[in-house]
Amino acid sequence: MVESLSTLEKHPLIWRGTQTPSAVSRLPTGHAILDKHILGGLPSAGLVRVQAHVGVGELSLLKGALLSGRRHKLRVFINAPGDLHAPWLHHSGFDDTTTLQVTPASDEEALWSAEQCLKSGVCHSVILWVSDLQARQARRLQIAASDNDCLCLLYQHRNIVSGLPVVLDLKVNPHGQGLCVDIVKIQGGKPVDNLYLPLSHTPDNSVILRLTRHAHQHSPHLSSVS
Amino acid sequence: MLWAYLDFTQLTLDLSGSERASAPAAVYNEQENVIVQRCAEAAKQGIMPGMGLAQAAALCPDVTITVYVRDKEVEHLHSLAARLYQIASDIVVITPAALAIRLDNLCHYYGSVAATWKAIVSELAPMSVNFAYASSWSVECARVLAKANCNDIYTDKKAISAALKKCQISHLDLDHSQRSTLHRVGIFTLERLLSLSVSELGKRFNNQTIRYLTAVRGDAYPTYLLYRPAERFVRHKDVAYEIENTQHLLPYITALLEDLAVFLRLRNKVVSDLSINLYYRDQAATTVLVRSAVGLSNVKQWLDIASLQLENISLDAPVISLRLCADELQEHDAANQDFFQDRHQYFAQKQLMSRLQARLGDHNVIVPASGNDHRMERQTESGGNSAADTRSQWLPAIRLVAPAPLTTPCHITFGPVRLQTGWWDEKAVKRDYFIAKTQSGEFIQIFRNARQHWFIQGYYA
Repeated sequence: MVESLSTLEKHPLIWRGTQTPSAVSRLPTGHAILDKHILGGLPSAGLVRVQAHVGVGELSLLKGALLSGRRHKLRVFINAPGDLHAPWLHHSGFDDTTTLQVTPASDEEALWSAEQCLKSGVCHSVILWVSDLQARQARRLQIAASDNDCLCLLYQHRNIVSGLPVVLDLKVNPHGQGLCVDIVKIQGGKPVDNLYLPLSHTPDNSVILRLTRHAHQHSPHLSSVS
Repeated sequence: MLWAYLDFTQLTLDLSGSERASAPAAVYNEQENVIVQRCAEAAKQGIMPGMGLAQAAALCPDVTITVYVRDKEVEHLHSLAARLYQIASDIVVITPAALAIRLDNLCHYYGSVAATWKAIVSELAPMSVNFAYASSWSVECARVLAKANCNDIYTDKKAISAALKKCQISHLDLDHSQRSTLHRVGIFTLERLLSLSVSELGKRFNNQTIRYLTAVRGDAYPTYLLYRPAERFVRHKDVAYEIENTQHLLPYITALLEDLAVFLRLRNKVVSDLSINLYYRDQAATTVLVRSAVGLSNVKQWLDIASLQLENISLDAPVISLRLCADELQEHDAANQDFFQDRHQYFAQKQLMSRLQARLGDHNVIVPASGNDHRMERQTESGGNSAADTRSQWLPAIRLVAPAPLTTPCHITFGPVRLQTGWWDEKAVKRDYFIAKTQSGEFIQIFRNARQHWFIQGYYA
């Protein structure tokens, strides 16, 4: 019994709760709370799924991870829900020459493109939007990603419960002035719910509002004059 | 001088590869209604060159007939010459189906005539061509000996003279009237003809014949136009059967690409554009352009791209032959490649782009760069200038391809930003842009046009 346990322990994907698992290099997202719970950042190799609606700030949340690491490798956006806006990429710090946008005609082509990119060995990360993904397909992507040391970031906007073979599974929901992140599954860590992250990825009218409020406060003087 | 003459006796058959199929096959010249070539199996059945089609069919009912096309044979002859040019310098292409190679100057490199000849034969072996050959002091004389099927490489003059004496008048390259002139003066053997003096010949024959006969005798050496390798790559290939599926074209394209790879390697060139012409029986030929972002010369790399491109093509009619052309050869700029740069990365990236573009189409794989326009639709352009931009603070990450009518309730968190531009072309816009938050917490970019209609144009992802 002891002998069979010790052979089990040699398996790289099996560890005791008291130990920390073998270190996989991580790409920090820049959000301290999140990084703490996901062992330092997104894994630099493997499939990571993010369940979020388009437009909640799901890209902005993780762009720190996408921008860290080796600069000269490609960041490939596949099947985004629209065209990537070059000014945003530029403003966020993506390199003009190493960002690629791929617009496939179908999910099947999207998966094919993703696999080609992962296997090419020249990509830092592949950011993929697919509405439906079978466990078998996810497994394929996961192996291609981990074998070629590449991050495959998968965005799905529907809440899909099936347990896919992913390294990290996040659920991102808007919450107040920021985001609420659930860590559904993490390889080598414990799931955590309701991590609140403040995020303001869009400008707002607060300046104008403050000014108008300021103007309102002073308005009695003006009225008194009249 | 010592010239070897190679007479390719059944080049069309060799080209179609039917020799290997061990079935009787013959090549038929439609214009003259004669069989011009036949394979060994057909020869066993009694089919001889010069027979009519009916006679050949009567002798052997199951003979496979290929129609003789001179141009195709000449093209194949040039590819043989191109191959031999790598090991021999002076090559004379004698259309439609013969080559002459000068041997004596090659002895410096190969050591002996025998070694030179060995090199030539082994170079031709993979092409599996049948030829009759001989060597002599002039191309004309070697041709006579090859016609007489000597199949020997002579090195000394005595041996050549002895072999020449055994040849017949019919082996000479003379037309019917010249031959009848010889008959009239009572010359029936080549030995007799060659023993005549030049003045004797001058009385009977015109200058052209005299020049020919002196060249055969080795008294004078005419000048020959030597082979020069082609500047561009064009190669034609007939398929063995009518192909309706692009998958089945791949073996033929692979063979053509292998030829191309040799062609490019020898010139130390690369190529970034290929065109593959597909020919059909009735319809006009179609052209498939295969592009690579970076010049390639490797068979495998080209095959990857070409096969992806072909996957997207559906054939309307069966393909009967194909042609591969590479027009613009590029320099292989080895000097510019710094070893300390990520050279492999660079090429692998270009290769990846080529692969994706081949399958998905050029415009579906882009490097987004900033366009020089304030209109949302024009702010991202493939290959645009990527100047630093400060106006982008409020722009969304993802822009919808076409604005969609706003149907979900939302409240505005930022705006307005008015855009009124594009007066110089047909697509003038006057829009007030806002950032809005929907009830489910998504940040969207919306705008109101001049008619007060609301649209969604982007997502702040």
